[in-house]
Amino acid sequence: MIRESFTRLRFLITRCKPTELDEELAFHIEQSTNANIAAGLTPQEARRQALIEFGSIEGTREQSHQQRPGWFLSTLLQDIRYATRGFLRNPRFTVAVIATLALGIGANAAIFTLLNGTLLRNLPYRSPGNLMALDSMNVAGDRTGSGLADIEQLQQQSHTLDGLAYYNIRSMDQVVEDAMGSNLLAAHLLEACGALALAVALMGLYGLLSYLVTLRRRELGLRMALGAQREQILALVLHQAGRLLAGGILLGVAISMATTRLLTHFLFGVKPQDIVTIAAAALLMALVGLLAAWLPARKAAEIDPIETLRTE
Amino acid sequence: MPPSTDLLQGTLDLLILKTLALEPMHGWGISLRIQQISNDVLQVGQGSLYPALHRLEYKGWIQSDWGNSENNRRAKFYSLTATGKKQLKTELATWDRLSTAIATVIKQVPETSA
Repeated sequence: MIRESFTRLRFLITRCKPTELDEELAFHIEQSTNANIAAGLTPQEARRQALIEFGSIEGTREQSHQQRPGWFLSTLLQDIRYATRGFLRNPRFTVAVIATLALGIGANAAIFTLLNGTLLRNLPYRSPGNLMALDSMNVAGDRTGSGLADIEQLQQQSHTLDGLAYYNIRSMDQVVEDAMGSNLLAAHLLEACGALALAVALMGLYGLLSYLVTLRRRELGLRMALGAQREQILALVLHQAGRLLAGGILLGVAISMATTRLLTHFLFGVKPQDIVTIAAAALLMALVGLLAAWLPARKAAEIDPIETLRTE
Repeated sequence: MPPSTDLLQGTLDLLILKTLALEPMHGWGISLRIQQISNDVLQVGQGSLYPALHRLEYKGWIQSDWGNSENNRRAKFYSLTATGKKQLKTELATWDRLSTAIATVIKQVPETSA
């Protein structure tokens, strides 16, 4: 009787309609009760024993529901809907996080695209590894440079070289570095700035999420008191962070595409949309961002419901 | 409460399939049948029986229809599908191989006594 009224109360709150599963389980308990009556128990005692034997009805219901192939997806959708509502409630917070992330990613992707285009990429020859630089020196070991006649002789007689071109002969790396010495320093500085921007963006994400968790301590505590599992709280915070990350990354990619396009006007030979670079930057950001979100999420999952509910 | 650990995962599936191979049955009947045939050794906890039934149904190995029970109550009857029959054969073969292997290992007389 008491148990029944509890069940009724629960259905009133959660608005769960009795499903086929409930009917099925009710049938099971009824059969079990009948068997107990046949064994000589009074009807009340028979039902009591049947319920004890059955164990947690709610647990069985939940586990049966979880067998459904799309079960995971439906809880995911639930979390996403919830997260969207949360963002609409805190528009300033949302904008702050997305802007921070977007700037971090945008700056990084743009800088890396430039570095990749100018420094890291191989020289534009078919097999740059086979490229050699020749030099001549005198008996004392000083570099002398080669005479044109020597070069022509080499061109005709050498078997190890496919071809020989003369130029102000130095190693190709040397040529590149000499040509770009000052640019290299600037590029490294840019790189450092980019890394700094990334670090600041991630710290921002961490700080903002921690703040959000602190603000919602009571609500999260209440959820736990009502039966939300640790993993569910964790997933809730992580999903919210994931949405922020996704928004920030999308905007960041857009920004970096725009800025690299702008920068290519000043630099020769850099493709404006280096998809691989941008994808790599976004992926890196997503991974590190999830890590930054993981810490506040864990903190949220460790909330003691009793304590938060007491501090009214 | 964790799902009953008195039966190996997968073993319950096999028992259910085998029981349903005889005739369509409702959940209560399945648990009763398994308990009776095994002389009360195997007690299928309801906490694992119904999730297992639903899992097998979603896999398409069994199907369910509402019908009337012996005492004229609406009950959900489960029966094997064609895939379920095939699956039962595979599971039986796997079980035979596994149990023979285990029996061989545990009955082995130690050749050198420590």
